[in-house]
Amino acid sequence: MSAQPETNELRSPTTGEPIAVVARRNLLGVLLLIVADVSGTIVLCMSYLYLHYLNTNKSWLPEGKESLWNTTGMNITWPGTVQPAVEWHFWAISGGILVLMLLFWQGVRSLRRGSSATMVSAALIVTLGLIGLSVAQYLQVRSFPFDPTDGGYASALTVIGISNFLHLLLSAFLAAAIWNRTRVGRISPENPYQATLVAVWLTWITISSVILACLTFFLISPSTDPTLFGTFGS
Amino acid sequence: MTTTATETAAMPVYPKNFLRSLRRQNVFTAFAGGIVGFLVMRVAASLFFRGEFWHGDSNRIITVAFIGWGVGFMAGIGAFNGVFRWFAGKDLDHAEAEYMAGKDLGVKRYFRYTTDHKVVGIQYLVVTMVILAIGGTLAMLIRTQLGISMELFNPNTYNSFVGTHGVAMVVGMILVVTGPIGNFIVPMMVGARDMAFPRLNALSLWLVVAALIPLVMSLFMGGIRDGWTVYQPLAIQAPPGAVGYIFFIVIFSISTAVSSVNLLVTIVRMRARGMTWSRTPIFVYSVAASVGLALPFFPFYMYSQLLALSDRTLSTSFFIPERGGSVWLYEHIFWILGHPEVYVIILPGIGACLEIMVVFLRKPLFSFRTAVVGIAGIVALAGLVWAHHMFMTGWAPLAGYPFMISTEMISIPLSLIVLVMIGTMWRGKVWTRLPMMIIYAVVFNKIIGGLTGIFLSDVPADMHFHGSMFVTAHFHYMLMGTGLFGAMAAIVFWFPKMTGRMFDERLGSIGFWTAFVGFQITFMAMFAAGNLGMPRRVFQSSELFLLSNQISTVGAYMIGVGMLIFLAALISSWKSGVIASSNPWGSQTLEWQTPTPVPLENFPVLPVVTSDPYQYGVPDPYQVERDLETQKEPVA
Repeated sequence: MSAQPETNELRSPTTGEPIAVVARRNLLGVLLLIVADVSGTIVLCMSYLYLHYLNTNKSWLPEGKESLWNTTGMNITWPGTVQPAVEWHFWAISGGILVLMLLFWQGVRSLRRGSSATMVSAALIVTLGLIGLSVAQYLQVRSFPFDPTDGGYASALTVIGISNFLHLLLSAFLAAAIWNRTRVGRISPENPYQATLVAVWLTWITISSVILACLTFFLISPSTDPTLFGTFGS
Repeated sequence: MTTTATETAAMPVYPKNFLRSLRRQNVFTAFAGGIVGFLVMRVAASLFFRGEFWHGDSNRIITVAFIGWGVGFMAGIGAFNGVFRWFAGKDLDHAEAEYMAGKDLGVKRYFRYTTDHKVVGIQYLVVTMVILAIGGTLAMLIRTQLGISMELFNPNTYNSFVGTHGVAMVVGMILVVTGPIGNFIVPMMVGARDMAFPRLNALSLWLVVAALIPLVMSLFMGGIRDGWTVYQPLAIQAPPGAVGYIFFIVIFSISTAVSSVNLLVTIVRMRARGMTWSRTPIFVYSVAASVGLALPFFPFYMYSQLLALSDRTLSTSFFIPERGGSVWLYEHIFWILGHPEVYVIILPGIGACLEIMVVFLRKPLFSFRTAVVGIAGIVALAGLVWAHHMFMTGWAPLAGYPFMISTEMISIPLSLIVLVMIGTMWRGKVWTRLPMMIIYAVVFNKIIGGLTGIFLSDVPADMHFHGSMFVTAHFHYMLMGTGLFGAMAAIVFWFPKMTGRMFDERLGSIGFWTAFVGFQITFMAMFAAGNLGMPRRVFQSSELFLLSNQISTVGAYMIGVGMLIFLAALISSWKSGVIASSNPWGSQTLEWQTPTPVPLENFPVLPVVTSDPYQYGVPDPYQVERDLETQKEPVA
């Protein structure tokens, strides 16, 4: 909390330290928070794949609803248990996040080159885009052709959708903050660091979204003779 | 550790535009906000879900109500003010930051969202004592039930006490060193003016307070009847008290992540000039290792509970085998944190002991590098041992052997640290003070805990011991014998810096020795009961185990009495202890080189480190004790 003597170097109004020093500290903080979030994504992947491979009680896929899956209309037989991704909505949302992330990075790049106006526009578009994708994600979860009660696949997909939704909401808030802070001059070509941090975060949620979407490749369980529960007689 | 002046803290004058709302926000508004949030959301949820409070859709209603509690509490304490100000583009100026750090607020700063790491450290100390008191009281009740052959409580109440005791103690142990000492001492030890993210520091503390209420409320909503592990699918059938447990863990996990990031960034980015890794105190390593493990692994614990909550409220089936779920999945996710958590607890305690013992032996740490390698080895292996908790579950029997080997391997780095401790003691000129006495106890307990752990990591032996009181005794030797006793040493040692007064070692010693003897009686008898086959978590046991249980209960009462005496020593010392000088132990680490009471910015002049912190060449350590009598500094 020490304030430093005045120099030409841009300094934090809170601690008086050079902005670059604070930025390096903040970047490490954001990266470490992402480490914690990575663990959450690993748990979701682990849960999906674990239930997929066990197919406990033959309840991985909902009984009698297989036809509702193939929303793309594709009828391709792939080797092994890897199937074409049928939940194209996930891919559409992941693609949307990817585009918005690239746009945000473009804004950061322009900001570093001296154009705050481009950053303001980019952050605004990204904010609106992320809100739109949040709504799309919500609608997708609400319109799954199954209930969360319909087995492991339904459970895992529902929670993955909710996880994506929360990621999108948080990111929309951050992007909106960057829009506002750039607009009022707190983020500037001389002090672009917070925009960079949000761009790093957006990069991670893009990766997370793509990884979770990739899970939908694993549709048919390889376990054809699974453990049965609930029918103890057998 | 030599220090030289580099810069002088200049104090620019800023307009006094303090946050108006912050002036009115404190722990009372936090509780008021939490209660309002809870009630509003509870009514709204009742209307929406059309259920009754205790039945029907009670899981969903209580879930929504607890969300209301958490949001209301954090809003009431002022946790969101900074977020909205940041959003609005209003950054704190220096004067506002000092106000938030509690400058000139006196005792009020301990009841607010104060950002000064020293205040947060004291707040953590008090909160941790409360958590340990809850867990300890329940332990007394549990032991009372087991020590007599009549029914004091009904079985559900007993199970609920066991579960709440378990989780309260685990969380209390995680906090007991890293919370108070980590927050108060580590920034000074590395030569920083504050933590890297002061507002996140306050956030982590108040999240723990917010988490406590769901835990306490769970006792009145059916309790946590399935142990602290809340194994599925039993827990899914448990009353709504389980939701209180889930919220406690979820909020605490968020707090842990925030706190871990803060400590790691402080240690990595804010060390004083000249403090290379080889000059960094060993306690800093141990705290970094502890939070470095907590950061990636605690989310597993949090998600295990979130998925369980999803099963309860959204009717998903992650852990319900009839509908495609798997209880093994729960155990994997739970234990991926559940075992590293042991190291999260014991590493700071061990690190504190290493740090303290060099001061009282007046000699350098025996092989600093070996101690660092030991800590690094534990971190490297901690994530590879979880499935030894699942040897008896029927999951992948062949996988037991690699996990047996990895678990046995982790005893190697642990042993390295014990060797460093013994090597440092070897031919040392001991300055016999209370912290040093406690360290001897820690070494003893750690050896017992470590050796008995090897039996449990061995698949054939674990077939006999699994689920028995032997396991309970083993992990108490590790968590309490090493973690809690290590914390007691740390508290006594750093007490003068934290409070400005010396700890009453006479009364403290009576408390410590009573607790130590009681500890051995309790858990040695428990080893015997476990070896005879007494299972854990039983309400009433066979006559075969009655004598062991009675001995354990007597020992447990001794622990309780000892801890109360120790607590009395702590409170009386804090209130009216002998005024401490700035460096009563003659220690060479940085936190002792600053005045007591510690100024708001820690160091009037930022230190530069020119040597390692263990250059002890004092020929007569008792000289320091004599100096103590002449170096009386006033406490403000």
